[in-house]
Amino acid sequence: MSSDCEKMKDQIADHITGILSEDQVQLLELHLNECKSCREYARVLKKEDTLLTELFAEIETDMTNRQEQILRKVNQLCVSKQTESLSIRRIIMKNQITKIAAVLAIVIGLGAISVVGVNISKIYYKGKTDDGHHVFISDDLETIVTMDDDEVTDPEQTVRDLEEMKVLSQQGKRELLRIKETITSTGRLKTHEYRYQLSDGRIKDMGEGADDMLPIDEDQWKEFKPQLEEFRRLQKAGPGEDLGTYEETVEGRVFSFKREKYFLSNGTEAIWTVGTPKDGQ
Amino acid sequence: MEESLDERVVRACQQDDKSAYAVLVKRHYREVFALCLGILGNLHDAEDVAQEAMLKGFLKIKKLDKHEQFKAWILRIAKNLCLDFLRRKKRLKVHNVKKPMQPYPNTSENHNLQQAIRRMPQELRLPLTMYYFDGKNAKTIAEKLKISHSGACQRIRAARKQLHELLSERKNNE
Ligand SMILES: [Zn+2]
Repeated sequence: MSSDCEKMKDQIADHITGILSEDQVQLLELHLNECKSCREYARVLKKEDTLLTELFAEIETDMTNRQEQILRKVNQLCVSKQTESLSIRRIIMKNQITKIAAVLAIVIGLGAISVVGVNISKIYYKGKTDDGHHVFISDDLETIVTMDDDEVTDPEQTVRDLEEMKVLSQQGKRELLRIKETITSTGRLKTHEYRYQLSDGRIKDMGEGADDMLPIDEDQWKEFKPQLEEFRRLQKAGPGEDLGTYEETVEGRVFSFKREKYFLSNGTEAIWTVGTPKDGQ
Repeated sequence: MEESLDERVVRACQQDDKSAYAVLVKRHYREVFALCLGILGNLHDAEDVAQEAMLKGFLKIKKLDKHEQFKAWILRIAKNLCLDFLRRKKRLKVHNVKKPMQPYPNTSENHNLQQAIRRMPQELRLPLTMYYFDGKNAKTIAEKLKISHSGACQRIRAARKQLHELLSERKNNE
């Protein structure tokens, strides 16, 4: 190791950092050609740079989840302050895997039939879950449909129905019947209920949640689900505290909403909102 | 451009448009988080404190006079919360309360790296974190830390060299 080497180590660090000038790079390369120990130093430093880059890229992948978590908390702050507007628009897409996990878990959450997303491509029947729900999934994984056992007699027929509904939905040939939303301290579930008329005359009502209406990930779902279930029990037992009504335009139509508050056993609240078209049936 | 959007959004927030704050979260959270990570050196602490900062921002936004300065304001909130956090943590240490070690995204290969980053002094860790968060650009670090370009380069160099030493030290001890 020559006396140059200490200085060269600075230059090696700078070179990897990308802040070394052209001239200096050339001098450095000359030295590296001759000096084994500096070559080794450069190699290790470069490797560490790669590891650092990977580490931070990995940290980065969770950024949207972190943001969503904050928006959820902001939303809760709104709920707890009982301010008017309850909806914080989720503006960030989830990654697809957690979306699927969440959606699969949501089986219990919705009514008889539920469709998530509308951009259905080809639909496949995936079989039954442990708790007896049928699962259909589109080949782009964007759409997951779950149905109660008694809703499905022939999965092949259901696949055809869903594909037809996809087309109807893309043509706007469906009627928005109802909007329901449940907000607890751990999550929010919102569904739009649409009515479809199939070509053979059958009527199908579907509860649909777009990706801004679902719990964000499995962990959240685990917290949210018991609250949701408790809320449902309470709701069956009787109405909650009336929080009044308001109107909002959804998909070009004015809906009247009413809100109710329920108190859950752990001391938190659940806010239930339901909206129906103002111009009636 | 950036300023004027923030300005508009902040005003909407101040007029009780709750959904507007989502825009500010989306625009500035990442930088708030990077700052917290740089100061605290621990991913989960950084997540907690960055979240606290954004929520505090939401609750206090009516107190922000100069609408266009949301970013500087929220970063200041975050920095103060980080310093509070470190003080609290120090106290906890005295009382011998140990939080279980929280890992970074976990692969065994970068475990040592995370440990080493955690052991760095804050004044080097912060520029290093910013450097890798900001597309490896020394110039933006100089701007953010309000130091000269050469000063920023110097710190990144020192940080890289020290990190290397911490990593080799560990290897030699094993
Ligand atoms: Zn050398």
